[in-house]
Amino acid sequence: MDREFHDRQTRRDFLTSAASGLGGVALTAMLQEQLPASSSQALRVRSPHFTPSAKRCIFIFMAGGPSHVDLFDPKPILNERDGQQLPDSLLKEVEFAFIKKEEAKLKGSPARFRPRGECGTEFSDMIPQIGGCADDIALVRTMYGEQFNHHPGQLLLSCGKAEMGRPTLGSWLVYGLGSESENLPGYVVLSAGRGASGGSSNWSSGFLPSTYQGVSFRGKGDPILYLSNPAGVHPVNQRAALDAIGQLNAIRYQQVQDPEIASRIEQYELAFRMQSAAPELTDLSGETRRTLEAYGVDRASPRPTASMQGGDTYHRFSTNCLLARRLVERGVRFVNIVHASWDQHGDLKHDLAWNCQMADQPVAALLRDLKSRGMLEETLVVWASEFGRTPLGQGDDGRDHHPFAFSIWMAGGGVQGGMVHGQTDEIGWAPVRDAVHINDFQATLLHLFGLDHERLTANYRGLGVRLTNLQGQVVHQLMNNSPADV
Amino acid sequence: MLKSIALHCLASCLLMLGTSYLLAVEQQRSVSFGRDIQPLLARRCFVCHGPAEQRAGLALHVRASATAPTAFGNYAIVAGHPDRSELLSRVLSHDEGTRMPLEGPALSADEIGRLREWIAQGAEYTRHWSFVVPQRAELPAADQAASPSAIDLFVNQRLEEAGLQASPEADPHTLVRRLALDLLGLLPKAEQVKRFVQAFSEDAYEKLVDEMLQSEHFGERWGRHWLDLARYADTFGYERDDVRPNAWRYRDWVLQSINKNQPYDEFITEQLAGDLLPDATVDQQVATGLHRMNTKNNESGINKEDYHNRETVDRVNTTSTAVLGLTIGCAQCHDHKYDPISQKEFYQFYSFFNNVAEQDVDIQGTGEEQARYQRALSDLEAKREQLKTRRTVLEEMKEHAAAATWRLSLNNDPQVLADKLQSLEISESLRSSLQSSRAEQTAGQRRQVDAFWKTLVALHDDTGKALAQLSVQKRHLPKPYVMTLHEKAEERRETYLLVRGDFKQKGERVESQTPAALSLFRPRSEAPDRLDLARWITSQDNPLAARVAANHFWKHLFGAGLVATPDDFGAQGEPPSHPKLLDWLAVELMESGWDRKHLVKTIVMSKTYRQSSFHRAEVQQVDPENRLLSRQSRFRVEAEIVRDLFLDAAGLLHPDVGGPTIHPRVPAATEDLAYKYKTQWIVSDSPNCYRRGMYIHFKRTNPYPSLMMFDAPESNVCLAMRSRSNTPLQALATLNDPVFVECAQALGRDLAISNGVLEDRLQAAAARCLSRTFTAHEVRILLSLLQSQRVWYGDHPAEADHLVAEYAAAGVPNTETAAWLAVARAVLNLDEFVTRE
Repeated sequence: MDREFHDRQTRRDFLTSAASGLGGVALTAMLQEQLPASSSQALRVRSPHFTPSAKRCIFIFMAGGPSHVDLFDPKPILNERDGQQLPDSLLKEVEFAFIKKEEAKLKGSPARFRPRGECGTEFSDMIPQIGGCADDIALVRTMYGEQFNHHPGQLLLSCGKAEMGRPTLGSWLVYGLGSESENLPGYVVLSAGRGASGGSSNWSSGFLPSTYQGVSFRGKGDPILYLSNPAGVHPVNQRAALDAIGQLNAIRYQQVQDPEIASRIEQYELAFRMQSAAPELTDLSGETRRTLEAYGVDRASPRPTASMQGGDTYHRFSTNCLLARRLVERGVRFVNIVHASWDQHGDLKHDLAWNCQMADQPVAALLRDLKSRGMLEETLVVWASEFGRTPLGQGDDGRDHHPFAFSIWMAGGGVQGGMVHGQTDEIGWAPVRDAVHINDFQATLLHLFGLDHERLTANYRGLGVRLTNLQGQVVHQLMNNSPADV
Repeated sequence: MLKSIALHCLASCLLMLGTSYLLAVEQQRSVSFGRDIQPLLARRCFVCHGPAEQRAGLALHVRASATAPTAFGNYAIVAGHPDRSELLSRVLSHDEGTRMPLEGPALSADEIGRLREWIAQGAEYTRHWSFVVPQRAELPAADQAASPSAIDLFVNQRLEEAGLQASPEADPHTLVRRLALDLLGLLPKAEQVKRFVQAFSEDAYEKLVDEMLQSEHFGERWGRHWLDLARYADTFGYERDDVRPNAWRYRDWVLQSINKNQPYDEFITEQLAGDLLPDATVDQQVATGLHRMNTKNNESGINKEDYHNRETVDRVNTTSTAVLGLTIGCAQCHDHKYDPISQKEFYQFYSFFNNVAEQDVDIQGTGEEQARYQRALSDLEAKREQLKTRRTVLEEMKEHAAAATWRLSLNNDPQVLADKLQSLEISESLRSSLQSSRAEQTAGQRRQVDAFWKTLVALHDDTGKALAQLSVQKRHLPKPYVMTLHEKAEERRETYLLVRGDFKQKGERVESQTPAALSLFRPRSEAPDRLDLARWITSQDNPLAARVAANHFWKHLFGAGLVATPDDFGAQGEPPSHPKLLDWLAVELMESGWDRKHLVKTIVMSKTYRQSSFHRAEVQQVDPENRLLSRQSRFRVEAEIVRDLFLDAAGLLHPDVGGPTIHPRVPAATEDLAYKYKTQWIVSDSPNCYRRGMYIHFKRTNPYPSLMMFDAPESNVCLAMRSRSNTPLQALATLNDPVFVECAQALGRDLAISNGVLEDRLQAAAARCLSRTFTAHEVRILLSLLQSQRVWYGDHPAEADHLVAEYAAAGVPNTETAAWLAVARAVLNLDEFVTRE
């Protein structure tokens, strides 16, 4: 029996009856099983290339460039040689955004480092609670890229190339794997504080259809844009409207036979389900006091400094971490938590501490929470930024952009906990072994999801474009059991 | 069961048949040089035997050399004789020293098989179809009298070959709506539809087309298509994403060019090289704004050389994609893998743009514009002075607040007090209370004064915010200047091939030159410039420009191009579904003097265009993508047009054409996700906020949300084809976005106050929104919605008030208006409403 033909017959019969008065809910239930090829197929769950170890990703995007030498990569020599000049050999080929070469002097770190967990990985005292999760964390100290300005650097991290118009990490995952969530978008963006300088290009679907675009949840008002009914419209009215719309659309479908109409009916029903699913998602009243406290949801932000906005940033960042857990719990594929104030050209001591206090507790709480719920195994948590900061000082108390070596970390999702990958030189300037390019990191991330970065391609202007921009080596050392390619 | 098997077999046969018909003429042979051989040679052989190097005296990229004796006296290719061709024995060899290619794996059996067949067939180096100058093919002979349009003859020929028939003509009401959407992006007026349907004739159709081609909305509709290619936006992009308060002048130039039907060759020439034309007018300079629309990084601390290179590369890519349909950009880092474009040729093309200088030219503008600018500026300045004084007073008050010594600090001087208080925006009663001393105040006045002192800090903050907002407004003021390019006379750059595309690695020095595989370049002088480039692009023997343009026009009138990859006419792109038709259109465009309106009219007059767009089950299996055009296409309109249709149906649309950008309402917290570099969204007043979607201020790092939900381009790079997604967020937007809800409110009110029986009122909505009448069945569904909502709002009058808000209908209770509003909202949310059928 020709399955497609059969399906279409059934659908037609069904739509005939739907048009004569069946409600939209029932309508969609049947349509879902039998949708013809149309644009709504884009999110259907697809098999990866090989067995994945990760199914969902929480990507904590610390935009601006957190200082690796103050947080993740201890370099005591910086304190010993504080104020001394850098050897010419290092400066020769180098460019800075702001530092003048002749004034370049090493800058000691205000942070202290100590070994954490059973693994003994050294973390800065500025992030003690994240350090407390060391045994679950794979820390990469030898990340590098070539972009030393923010937006291009962010594009490189998000899209694999410092060029606009390309899909971002989350788009690639949803494009490759589809979305498991029936009532929520597959790719969600949560932001606190001021936005990343790259703006929407950090969650754009680029040349892929907007179906794969990150949906930014909002800190105020509706979590999803236009989620609430207009004033004076209640669910009962909305339902009545959708039933009428669904029936009229079904009549049109009968005449025109365009699968896009069936898809439209389905999208309206999904929208309706989202209207109840999203408020349920953001309603934290079901969380225990203990959980809320662990994440620090009710913390007040400390007084703003000269460059740090105060407001409710702490509250919102904590809430976002908790929402991230609730989102992946509901099958959302990729959650991007954005926070963008890590660009410490000056006032490093205060501003970095301000940020660390904001991030430390909720990020650690997120890791522990996922672990205790048994979700960490299949949820990959990433802490990443577009670059690190110079071991050299800038002005009185700042550091400049530094893409030649910086740190990111991952936890869960099949990543080996309690390990450090790579080593930088004695001042944290450049990798001395196991360097990991941003494209390598991206290849590794896709690999954890069972996707071969060389095979996950999309045609654009005649080229089979992929996330890793014709580069990228999977870093197998970071994995528990490297899934075998099938 | 038997029956279903038979059906299945039939379907499969039809499927195979259909596919084979889709192959372009060149590819009807089993091996195609362009598709199979050229890319293989380029990938595996050219390194040593190509344009750059000819080891053993052998070059495989030119037939003459490939078939000539090599340095060893043997023949790499003997046409028609694979077994005598050294090339074949070398790729088959198992000896490591002789096997070709020396590097990398051996060729696959499949690749070798194709090489063998190609040589056996004569080893022809056929040129890729799009690199051959288009010629008008002879029209198919069939029944010319019945179908005078060349378009129909070509299309019908293909349909007949596939055993298919064209669809019948669409209903007149569909035709008028289709024309209005395609040509103007607006709904036809209900009256217009009625007249047209009643007196439908060939002449009436043509007259309607002519009218629409004369409408100034035609320029808006088709100008916006061009702006996708031009990556038009109102900010610079990147981190700071600064405002370009005058970018719209380029946009208006595009609109006007289309409205006055400027020939396409001039349209292109002025954009690429308007500044180089003799005695260039201001308008011609505005046209060069095309290559000011690229993103530009204004972040401090960038490497200027790096970004000069990126911008130049973008100008090359945009030019080649938009006008030539070529992926020249693939040759930025290495020779093009599939098309005959070397890396050197990329940088020769790059050289045309390597010495442009950006220039903002002050223009006087019209007297009216000048006056408007001056007025706005002095208003702003006056307001600023006022706010600054207010802030100073509030600061003084703050200083003395704790000790309550403010009056004292002014020596209780009544005149000074009055002056100071004058600067505050407070009620008269509060003013007089503050004027009095504590002793003079009544108890009520004291309470009022105490309350005032408590709000002091907030007042002071608000004043600061208002001042900040003013400086943003000033930034947005359209001070009359235009963004142009001109050619640098001094400090000119030399152009080098950049190794692997890296701006730091200079290779060979190159001069401006066009790719050799295309038409001959005939520059005016020894030092070719952008004007030579533009003339080369628009010359009659350039094989690409007219085809690419014709394909764009076709794409917007059928939902897909004859070449399905409008940005790639190269070997990797799709071959045209109707090669002869494409060439006919290209030649028609050129021979009509590059007359764009003529081409659009020619297409929309055809029977092929006027077909019904209903899907047909019997065609679905054979030609699921409708490449053979056995029906018209049916597709959701573009982002801006979704908004325009809503406003239009509601009677809210403000139809002004051109001018500065608008800032419609945005949801609170929209700015949260943007990096705030001195920007704010200051909402436009009515009626500006009801203007068309294409005028919405486009901020690259934080574009207007509902546009992006419907696939508006991000406008960072040249875009030749928008995607058309169908998502739940779109449903939420049209159901709940206040802009769209307001449209439902306005339409609902109109329905509520119109007289007549219920059904007539529903039919009025159908006419207004869908340009047709509802069937009895549809009427029943909407009546049932109307009744249920009447009952519900009757029970919930307060909810009706909320819903109706400012759109109360005179003489009609809100409970009734609310029910009609629900009906209006449902009609506006039909798939059909946002679909061009």
